[in-house]
Amino acid sequence: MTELLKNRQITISLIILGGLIFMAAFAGVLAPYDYTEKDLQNRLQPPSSDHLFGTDHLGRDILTMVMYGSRASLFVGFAVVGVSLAIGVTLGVLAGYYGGWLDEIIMRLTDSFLAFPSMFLALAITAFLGQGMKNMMLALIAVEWTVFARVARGSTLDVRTKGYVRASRWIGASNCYVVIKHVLPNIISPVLIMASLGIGNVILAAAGLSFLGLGVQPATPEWGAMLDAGRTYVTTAPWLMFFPGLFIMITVLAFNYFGDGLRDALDQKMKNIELEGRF
Amino acid sequence: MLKEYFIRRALYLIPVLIFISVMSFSLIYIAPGDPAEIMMTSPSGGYDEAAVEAFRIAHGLDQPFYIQYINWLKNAAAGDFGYSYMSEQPVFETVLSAFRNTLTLSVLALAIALIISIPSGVVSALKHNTVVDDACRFFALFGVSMPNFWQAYLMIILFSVVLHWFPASGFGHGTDIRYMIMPAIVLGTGSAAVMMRMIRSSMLDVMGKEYIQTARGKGLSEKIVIIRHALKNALVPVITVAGLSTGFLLNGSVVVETIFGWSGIGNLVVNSILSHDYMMVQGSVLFVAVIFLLVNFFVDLVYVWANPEIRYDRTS
Amino acid sequence: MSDVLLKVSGVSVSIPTGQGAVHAVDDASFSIDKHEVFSLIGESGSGKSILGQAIMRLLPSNAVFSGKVELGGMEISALPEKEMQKVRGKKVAAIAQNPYLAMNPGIRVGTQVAEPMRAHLGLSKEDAKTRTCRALRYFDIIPPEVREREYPFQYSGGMLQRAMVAMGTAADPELIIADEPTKGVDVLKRRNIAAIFQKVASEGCAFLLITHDVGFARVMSDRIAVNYCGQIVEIAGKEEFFKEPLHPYSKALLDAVPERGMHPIPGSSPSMIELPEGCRFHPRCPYKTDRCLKNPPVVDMGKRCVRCWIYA
Repeated sequence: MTELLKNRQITISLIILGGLIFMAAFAGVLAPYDYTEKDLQNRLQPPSSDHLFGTDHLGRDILTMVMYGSRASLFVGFAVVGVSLAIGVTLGVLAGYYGGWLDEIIMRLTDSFLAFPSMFLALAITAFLGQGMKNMMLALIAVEWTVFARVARGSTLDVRTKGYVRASRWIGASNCYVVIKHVLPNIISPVLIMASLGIGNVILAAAGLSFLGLGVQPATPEWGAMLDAGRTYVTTAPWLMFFPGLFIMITVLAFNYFGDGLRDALDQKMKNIELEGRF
Repeated sequence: MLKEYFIRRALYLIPVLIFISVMSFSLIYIAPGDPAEIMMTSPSGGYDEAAVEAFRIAHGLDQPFYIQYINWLKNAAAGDFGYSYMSEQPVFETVLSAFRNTLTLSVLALAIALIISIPSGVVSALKHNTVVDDACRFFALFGVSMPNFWQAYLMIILFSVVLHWFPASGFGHGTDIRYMIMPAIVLGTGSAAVMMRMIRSSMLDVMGKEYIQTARGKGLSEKIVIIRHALKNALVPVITVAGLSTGFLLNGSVVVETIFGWSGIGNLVVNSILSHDYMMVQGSVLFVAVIFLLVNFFVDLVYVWANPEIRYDRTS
Repeated sequence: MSDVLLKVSGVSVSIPTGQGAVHAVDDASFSIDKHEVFSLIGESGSGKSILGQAIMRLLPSNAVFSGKVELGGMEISALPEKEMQKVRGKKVAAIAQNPYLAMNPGIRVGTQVAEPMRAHLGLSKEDAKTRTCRALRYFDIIPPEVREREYPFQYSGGMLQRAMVAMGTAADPELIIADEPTKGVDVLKRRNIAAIFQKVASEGCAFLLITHDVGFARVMSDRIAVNYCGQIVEIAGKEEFFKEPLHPYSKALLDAVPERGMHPIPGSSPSMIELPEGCRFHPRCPYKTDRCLKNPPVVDMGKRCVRCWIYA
């Protein structure tokens, strides 16, 4: 574990992520203003000492909004990936471990979901379910689980053929035991890498969907929504778009950097896991 | 032989195609509420009872699910995806022409992506673990992490507002390159980021192979070793890589086309959603999925074909 | 005119790694005469291959090289890279161990075999093709016109190995460095390889055979050198060597072959990063004395030499 920290990439990205999480958690304390505070006298002010990132079209302090906005993005990222992981890994391990028709069905299911370009699938689901953060998250989960299913299945297949797994079963270990003791520890590494990269992707996608008006409710501060709001003022007050976008990029960059570093540090076998940049 | 592989893979597609169609068809049903009402809801939110009733009868909504599905499928296979509520044009025609526009943009984007990624990927691999390599890799990571809508606006500010080189948005009959260039650059640079890493990886892989050392041992100059022995083998995956970026380009088109006002399929889906034109949404999503599936299938075939070894030996 | 073709003097190679520098080759000195078959035998991982790479100047970029290598009187270890490229493939050629790895899977065999011809002999495409077909036929790769256009995966293992030999001899080199030609090869194939090499040697080419296969070395060589842990510990003519090996490691090595009872050598080879003090073999040597804690001299006994205190 400490070995990993020696990797500069991992440490730097962890520090940045730590900072972002800290900012999200303590936004209430750190933020200079209240994000609901509208000050119509001071709308569209450029960055100044009073308002480091300027103010938006309703006079709200952008720095504050950005800080609170991190909550939505990070929450969506972790939640979506968490659930997708749970679903995907379960299905993937089942498919890889038991094989046969179960494997076939799960694989076809996975392929079917993967046949839709992710954004289109997410859009379609959001379209029919309706707007809102919860529905957006459901749509993103529908897209993201496949990634974990594939990775988990691949790793499970790798492990299943290993000698110690067969030996374990010969001495009578139950399937459940084998899975927990042998399969799961081996899939932790690739799954962790995909999770980190996945959070980055999900945050980007969620921001994109919110930007299009299909994500969070307009009242909640969220980076993508802020960009949407700032569209009309792109030429007159570009700071409305600049700062939230910058923070999206930094966050995603940190997650990608982390996942990347993790992959380089852990194994060359993981070469197959490429940064997909799907969204 | 290749033909057998092709047939096997084609057969494998069938269940997936069926699944996709079921999924697309079921989309209406995940929405809360009555499908007919949903389909017939106008942008303002209301619906005409008579129209809803007509829809119900026309689509046999009182019948069991699988019969509805079969009917829908029959129509879809014949090219009838229904009619857009908005324009009352057949969905299929609209989707097709929108897709053609996206294709134009994507081809330009892909060209840009290749021009950026191949040289940088190759150079990055040859100079690996040097500053050049680190810089390239970081820019690639950068490119993948940058939200495309943010990048789009940055470009608009720079090139349209400040420099007045290109129009900020618009379609321009689909042939005027000035409308295409910025969205293509946004899409292209994003793809380039992904592709560059793959090409670099492939090149590194090849440079580490023993036959490269053999080639040097024959007294060939490093330039010839790289060009004749390494590049050919390293660039084989470019085809697959380009194919894989189809997904990236399609996904990116959603936001990029919307921002730049390019009448492609991404733009179409977004507008359809915002105007509750569900027939259009359903039709476009299904269309895109089928195309995407076919493209991936094709790319897989090309990969097998390009690898002479797999071509001859592949029996599995 | 001297008969000496290759002269290696005091060559040392060390490769820095995360765990410390690996002293792969230490103070290697030997010479090979024209038309001579010279074998360098030793265990896997004892640095023999690195020595071969050092002669060809194909070491990894972070390797540290010292010493001198002369070919036909010319100091090739100091040549600029462009000049060295004229030597590789033309004067000295390498034949690798695994033909499927060593040949480019995406280029036709004929093209690969012709490459040294076109690069060093200046042949045109047609002339090179003719000469290639001739070479393929010489090595029993028939029908040559068909085989010339095929890809490596279409060749059987043995045939591809012969094609590799054809490729190595394509520009008529004076010296061939063959690295572990019989690794992982069964007895029958080993005989075939021996036959091919002997065919090439009979044309006048000298060989540096790097191998762990003592039996193969015995059949092929004129002279033998024994390599232990990066150092050459004994050089002798074949007959003298097998009749009476001098160095304790050589003795142990010969005792370990199946014919003599397969007596294993006690202990294990030291790591090339942390070497024993003095003689590298002394921890496992049955004849060790206090003197062995100091580096033993290389004792020159005329036709043979030994790196051991016993003979000093």
